[in-house]
Amino acid sequence: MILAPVFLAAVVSIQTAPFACNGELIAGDVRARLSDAGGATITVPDDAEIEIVLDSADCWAAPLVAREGGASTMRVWRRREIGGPLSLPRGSRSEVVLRGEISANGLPPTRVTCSASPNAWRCVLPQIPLDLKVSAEDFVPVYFWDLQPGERNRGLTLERGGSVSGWVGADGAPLDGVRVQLTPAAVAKANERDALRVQTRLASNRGFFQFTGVAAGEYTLTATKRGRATGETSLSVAANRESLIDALDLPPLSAVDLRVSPALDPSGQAWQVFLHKRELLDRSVRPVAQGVVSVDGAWKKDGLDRGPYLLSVRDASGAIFFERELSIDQPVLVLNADVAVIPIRGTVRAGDTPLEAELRFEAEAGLVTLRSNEQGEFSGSVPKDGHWNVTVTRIAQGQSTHLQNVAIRKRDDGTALVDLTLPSTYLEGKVVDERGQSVADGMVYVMRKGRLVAHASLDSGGTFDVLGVEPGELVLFARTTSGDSAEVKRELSEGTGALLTLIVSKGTTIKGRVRDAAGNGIAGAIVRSIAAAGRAIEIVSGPDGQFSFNLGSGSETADVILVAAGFPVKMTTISMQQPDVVLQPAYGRLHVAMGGAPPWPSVRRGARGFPLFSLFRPRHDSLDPYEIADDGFTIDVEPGAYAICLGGRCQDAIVRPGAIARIDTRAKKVKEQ
Amino acid sequence: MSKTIRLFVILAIATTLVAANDERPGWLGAAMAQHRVSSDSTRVDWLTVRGIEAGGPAALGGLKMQDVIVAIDGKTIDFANLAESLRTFDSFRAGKPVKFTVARGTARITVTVIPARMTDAQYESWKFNRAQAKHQIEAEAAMKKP
Repeated sequence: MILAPVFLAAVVSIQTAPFACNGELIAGDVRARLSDAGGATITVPDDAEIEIVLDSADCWAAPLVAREGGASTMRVWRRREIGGPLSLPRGSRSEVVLRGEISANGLPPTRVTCSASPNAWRCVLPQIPLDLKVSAEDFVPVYFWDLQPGERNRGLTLERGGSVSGWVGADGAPLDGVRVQLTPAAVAKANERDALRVQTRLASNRGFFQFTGVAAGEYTLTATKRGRATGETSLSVAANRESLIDALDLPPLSAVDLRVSPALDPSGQAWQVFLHKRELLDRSVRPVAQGVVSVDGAWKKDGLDRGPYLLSVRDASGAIFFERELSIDQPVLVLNADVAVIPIRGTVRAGDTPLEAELRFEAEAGLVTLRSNEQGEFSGSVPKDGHWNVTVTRIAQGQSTHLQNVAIRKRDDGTALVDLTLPSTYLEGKVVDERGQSVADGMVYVMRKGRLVAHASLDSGGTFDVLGVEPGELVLFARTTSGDSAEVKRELSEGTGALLTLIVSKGTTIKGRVRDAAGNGIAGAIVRSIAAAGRAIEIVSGPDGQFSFNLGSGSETADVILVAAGFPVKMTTISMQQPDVVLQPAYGRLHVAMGGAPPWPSVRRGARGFPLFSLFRPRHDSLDPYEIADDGFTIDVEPGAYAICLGGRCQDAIVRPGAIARIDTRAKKVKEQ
Repeated sequence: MSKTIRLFVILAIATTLVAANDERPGWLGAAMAQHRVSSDSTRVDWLTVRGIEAGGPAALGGLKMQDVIVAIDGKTIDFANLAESLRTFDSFRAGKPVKFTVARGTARITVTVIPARMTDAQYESWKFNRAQAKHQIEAEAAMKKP
């Protein structure tokens, strides 16, 4: 069955005065000539709304949507054309389909007719000041701003690629002078090339901005202007498409209104407030404000960007008693800080000997520094009970002993008793150079299983003494301006001590060169090593690949890691006889899956072992390592045999050229692809 | 024989740009380490890039981490001391291109960086760094005294 369409009449009148307008109205296949009076009646199908357009050599009107039986008015302006030469990227097909859209005062965004020939383009426009957007599939849209009625000739250059456009403003009005930055989300954890893809634009006085040549991917768009909160949004950019941002709002800055209770710190002095801004990309913080709470417990800070912050309240000595993550997204954030205060008192002794010392209590809850008197007695306040790490420093002797997990338990009366009793062990000795001369300027470190348990400054005679180290096997070494000593092992038991002499040496300097297989020096290669007494070394090779560093005393060789742009990471050993390193371009990949908390794994190659992080490439400030992966890290390394060690257990992996070896430090299996 | 121990002094060499009445240097967005010819000399013979601010002028110009800078605006680096190197960086002005001759791997290339205007925060940081550098310059001067 065929249904015959039913045609009803739509009446369209034309506002043409004060000029004449010749032409036709077109609705689908139906045409109606304009009368001399500027009106027309056109018959349209009744089953839907229909678009009516004006076809005229001297007039222009926006397309009109008419309904059957209705009477509509089409507003008309004089017609003009704009156009000119058209440039396309090399290799593009010459036929492009152009789309035009205008916006002007009193006119909503309206489609206009545009066309292109191989070397030219044109659009038909009303003869009024307007903005014109010309777009074509797979090309970046081009915006022409403030086209004046007399303008006829403009070149149009079309580029391929994705783009990001949009507006910045406040309360619906455009803002000029806004700095807009487009940052690939990958910058926070990818590679240097991504970091270079960060683009910055200054928004126009209309609040408009446009980024062209944007690669497909995820991005963060940030808009900043002095005196305004920062506008930020994340977006996806598709290949060869425009991503249009509606409007980034930059409202006036915010304020924090803080009330601290009690109004004064435990010593009766004013609290201090520290406010840090937390960065979105990497969660790092930067200081933005510091102040003192008034006697009635008030502190206020205005002129703040909206976003996440970290606020801390500290006593007059700097001990943190209150810390809170904030999200400021309103004009004024009112915050009440009820500061917990637990009064503590106690004594500190080494065996039976009271110590006059500085006591530094550290925990996630805060950091508190107290002093004990000659009788070893101290008192003060901490913000929280629980376990604290305490460093006991005998000020006069310049010696510190580190205690872990000291328990602070609150009693029924709200206070806590803390007695710190260090073991009655001692280490005494002196530090001399190779000629037997005393060395005064330096420190002696006492380690247990790689952890620092005590340290002491050398006095003017080069002597030192360390009290109260837990019994067991210890490693000591000296680090001085005259060089480092070799490591010395000692076994201590309760109530005993040791007398020793540490000899420091200037050591020997190794001079080498990093080069490629053809013998060309490689500039900018990072050379990392660990010298005697655990001294970390990191230097960069010079213009011709040259490098040198001190091996420390008694060493003729050094295990080194080479990190050079364009080459895989290399682990090797250099010696005074063979100080040069040759880098080869062949690489494989080592993927290490690991947990998110210490202990961290180490990488071994032969006898050489380094912390995994020593193999990382340098990164931009504050950014995550390039090597980061979802469940660990992936590192480009020289092919060969490696072992990843964690907690005394090592897993072997063979890295082959062009392949990836996977090690999961949470499992035992090694996979190779 | 002079010892050739390399001593690196990390400088936050933020450089500047200057508006009409603005004495701020132009900002590069890069941190560089100075390489001294020996431990007992103040003479600097090259710089290495040890920090790049993402999206900053140095990054946009193509300067990269680990680049070894051997010349600035065609003049081979041979700073007599820290003060001279700071004077060079403080002479940079916003919008005025600076050409760095860079040893990168086995290649020598030229990288042009257009310093940007220092923000107030960068300027404060620059002043702080300069105050710190002043102590080092004084120490260098004392080193030269017999």
